[in-house]
Amino acid sequence: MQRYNSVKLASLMLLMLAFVLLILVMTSCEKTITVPVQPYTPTLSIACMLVPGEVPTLFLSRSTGYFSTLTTARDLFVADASVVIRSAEGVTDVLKPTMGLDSFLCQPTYFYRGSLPTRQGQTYTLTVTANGQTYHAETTVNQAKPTINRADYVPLFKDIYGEHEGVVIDFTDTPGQANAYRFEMRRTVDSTVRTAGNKVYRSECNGARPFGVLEIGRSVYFDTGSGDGRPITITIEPAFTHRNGSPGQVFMQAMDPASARFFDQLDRQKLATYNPFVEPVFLKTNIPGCMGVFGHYVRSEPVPFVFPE
Amino acid sequence: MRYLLYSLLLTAFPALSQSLTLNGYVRDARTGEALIGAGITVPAQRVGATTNTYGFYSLTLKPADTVGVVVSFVGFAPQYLRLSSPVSQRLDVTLSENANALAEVVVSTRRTDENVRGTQMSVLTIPLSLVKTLPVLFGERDILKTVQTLPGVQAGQEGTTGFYVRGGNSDQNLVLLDEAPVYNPNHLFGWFSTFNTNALNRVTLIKGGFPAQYGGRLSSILDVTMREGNTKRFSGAAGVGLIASNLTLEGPLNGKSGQACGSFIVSGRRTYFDLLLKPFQPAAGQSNYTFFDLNAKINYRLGTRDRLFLSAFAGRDNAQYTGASSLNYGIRFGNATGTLRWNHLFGPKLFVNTALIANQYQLSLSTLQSGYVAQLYTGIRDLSAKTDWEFYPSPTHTVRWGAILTSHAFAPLATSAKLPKSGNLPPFPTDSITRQYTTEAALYINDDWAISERLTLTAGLRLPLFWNGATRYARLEPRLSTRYVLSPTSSLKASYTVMNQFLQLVPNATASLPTDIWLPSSGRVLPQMSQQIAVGWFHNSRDNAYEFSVEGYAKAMQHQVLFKEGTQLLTGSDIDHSLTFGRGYSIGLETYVRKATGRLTGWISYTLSRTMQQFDELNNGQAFPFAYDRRHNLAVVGSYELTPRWTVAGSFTLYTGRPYTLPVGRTQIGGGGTLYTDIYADYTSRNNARLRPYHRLDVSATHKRPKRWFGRPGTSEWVFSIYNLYSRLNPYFVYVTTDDITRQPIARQVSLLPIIPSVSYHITF
Repeated sequence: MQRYNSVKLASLMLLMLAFVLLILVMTSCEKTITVPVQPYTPTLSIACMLVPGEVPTLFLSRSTGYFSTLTTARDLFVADASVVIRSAEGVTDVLKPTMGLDSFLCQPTYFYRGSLPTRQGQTYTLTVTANGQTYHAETTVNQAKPTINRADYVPLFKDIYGEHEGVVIDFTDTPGQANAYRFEMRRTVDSTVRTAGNKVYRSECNGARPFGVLEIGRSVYFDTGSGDGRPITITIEPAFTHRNGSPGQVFMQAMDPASARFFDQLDRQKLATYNPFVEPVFLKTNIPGCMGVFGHYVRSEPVPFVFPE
Repeated sequence: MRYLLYSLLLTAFPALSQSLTLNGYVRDARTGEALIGAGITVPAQRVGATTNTYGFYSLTLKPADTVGVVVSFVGFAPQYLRLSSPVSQRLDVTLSENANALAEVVVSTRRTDENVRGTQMSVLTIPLSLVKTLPVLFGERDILKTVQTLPGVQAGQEGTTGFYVRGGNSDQNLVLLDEAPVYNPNHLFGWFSTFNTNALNRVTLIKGGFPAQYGGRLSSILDVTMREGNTKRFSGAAGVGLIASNLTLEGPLNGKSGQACGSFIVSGRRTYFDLLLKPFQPAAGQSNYTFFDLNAKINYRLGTRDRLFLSAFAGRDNAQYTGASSLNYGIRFGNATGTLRWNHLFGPKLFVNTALIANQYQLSLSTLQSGYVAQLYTGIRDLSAKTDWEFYPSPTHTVRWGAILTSHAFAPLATSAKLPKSGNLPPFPTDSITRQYTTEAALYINDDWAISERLTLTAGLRLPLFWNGATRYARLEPRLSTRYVLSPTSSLKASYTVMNQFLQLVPNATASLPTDIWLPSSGRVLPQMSQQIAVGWFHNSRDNAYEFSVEGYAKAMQHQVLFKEGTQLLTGSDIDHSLTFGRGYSIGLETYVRKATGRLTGWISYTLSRTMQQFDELNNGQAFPFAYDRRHNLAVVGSYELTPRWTVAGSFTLYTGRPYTLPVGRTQIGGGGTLYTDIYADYTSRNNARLRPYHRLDVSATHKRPKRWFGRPGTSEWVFSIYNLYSRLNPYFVYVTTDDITRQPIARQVSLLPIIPSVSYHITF
């Protein structure tokens, strides 16, 4: 009897320990920590893509420590810089700081805007002076205008971003030059619209008033992927939700390859940030001495598009 | 054939004809198990030998009227043999376990001083008897946990796989189980090793000064030898832990005459974690975990000169976990090995082992983290044939030579993408895997030469060859080790080795799970190569009860492999072109104090090291710390016999936190397009931050008493363990994210294992 009790006690003890063990193992712990702040020298961030027929817009901000409390666009905007774009013909455009409104996020945006439209075939030099430092960059607007052959809709397709609906664009690569393409769509929406991931929306400031959104595909398509002058078909997930019959206009951008590489690394870094199985991407600048890009793209003629569902 | 060989050897070593040779096997008197590394010395002639992996020795002596032979092995009573008018003869010796071996310090002839007298350096043998008393996780004894406490060895973080030796990656460790490579020696990401301690005879870690018979990896050899089984009587052992049970059966194999002509051992272990978990799971519960391993070995004597060994091992893990959002996975992996060996004695001085080896490793992993799914498959199948010759021409020379030929088949695949909206994992695209077939071979020769009583030299040369389609590599690997005896209790040693590695793991430094892919060398993926020099001072005191060593090393590694920044693997065929190549170096100082005998046994090891890597395409071409670079690494391991029945033990580890990459700045990139305008990370340096220091104390108490089982004498043993006694939540990994409301970037730390008590019960019969 005593032996039986001993076995029973040992079994009970084992069972209790097993229970404690399971509870402990199944509860991994996660908490916010303070990491030692590493010394960081803020640098200027410049983003300016010239588009033929449009006045230049330049985004100028200062980078900050990763865990800094400066989080808004206004916190980071550099308003006291000198920004000049000069053409090879000697025409000078002095860009002025201004602000706009991102109606979807209901927040102001800050940038510099010029007054002279960009011309195809011209070479432009950018000079930015801020805090006593001067930065130079140059681009020649020589990409050929792409032509969209067809814009269509597919309810379901798969890519590295998952399984989702898509806008299908057929176009032909311009032969004889290095090209890189991005998708662009313009639509008028209302405050019921959400991002495709259904995460970001603050468009309540618009009330019942419709407003425009611009979506630019994050992925960059290099013509080396299909071969010079070949037909290309790409499928893009729309960035915002839509209703049956929602109209829009789609474009293709043909970008200079150097700028395309810059935007491609942004895309890959973003992906690495989201996807824990991808190594982090260090950003490489196109403008010596600061972070940023100065280049151009040529936009196709618009093609009307209506969401069929 | 035999006479031809001898004629050649006698020509090479004329001293052979004027000497006498003793040879034979040294075995445990109780079980008949081979004693590996036993010492056979003739003090009057100041010569000696040690037994090889099969317990065989050969000792050539000067002719004498009488010869006194001492045969010794730690933990066993020595044998003193006096041979009158000796002639060359077979001399098999059995040693009995010394009941007082742990209770007192005894005279020097009873102790091995191999660490001082041996030429080889950077070698550590794991004391299996001590492993059985050390604290364990979930009640499972583990040799790899003990390996991780040795100097020069860095453990992976909790939940990560493998161990890292002298700045090398985990794939640079060649883990051999009865000569068969084991590609992944772990269960459940390193929480347990695949090695069942009940089935093991000897475990040796070599970190440098590699003898020429070893090759194929840059950083270490973990040589695990399975037991042969009890040749005297049928016996067994069993254990019940919190999550697994094990059973070992062994006994003699009798021939037609009724005499034992061999032995067998079968040892198995299986977890019942899945059964324990079941009551606590929701109906649609996804978490589950099972593993098993099975070891079996038969040895059979064909005569006095021939012996056959057949060993087999299989282990498999199957796990699914859907807990915290940062750690969801499904994984299946397993190893299987088989080795058929034939020992043949051509004569008293020439021992040959020939082996046929097959091994297989498969891993398929689906990991879901933050809405992204990664799928990985690694399959490797090796078929090998090898032969190793050992020739003992004189007391001053031991010559080894041999060859190995291996056929590898690889099937690597890795993809990662966002989880489909359906939430269903995509099917595993194993059909799309492109298999690769490669061949690896090596020839080697090695001579242990006692130049004088104080000075010895081991010189070897290995010629590895590798074929992958039209790509061929041939390398030369010189191996040199030397020892100079300063005094009877201390010596200086130095070594220089060159190693090449034709198979490599491509580690993903960011992922928190072992998303590692095995790849063979090719035209694009060059073989990894290392050169290592090491120097050391070795000292024993108190009749070899205490061993001290200080070793310094410097290692340079070429053609190291990492993924390019931002690599998004879509298909297996992308892997080669997603890689980038660089170099690394590691320097370190290792100190080791071990108390091998007495009631208190254990060791203290401390390693000061620095390991850096440099890749032209990573970190702007600047050098950066290796993923397992840890400046300080301290381990204190001890076991104390309180009474004949009670033993307490503890293990404390403290090391510098692992480096990881943290953005230092952030920059805003505008440019139109609501989704495009965003914050991007400004990384200034790779692996620029470190996890908090890791420290943990484990304790255990073991109660052992004699008990009869099934009418036979045996033992029963309770082991009570507490893992992480003070429940420190050591960092597992850190990731950055943004607060949804304030948009303030924050860092989040994930920890895994808090305090975990466990109990296990073991018997022998």
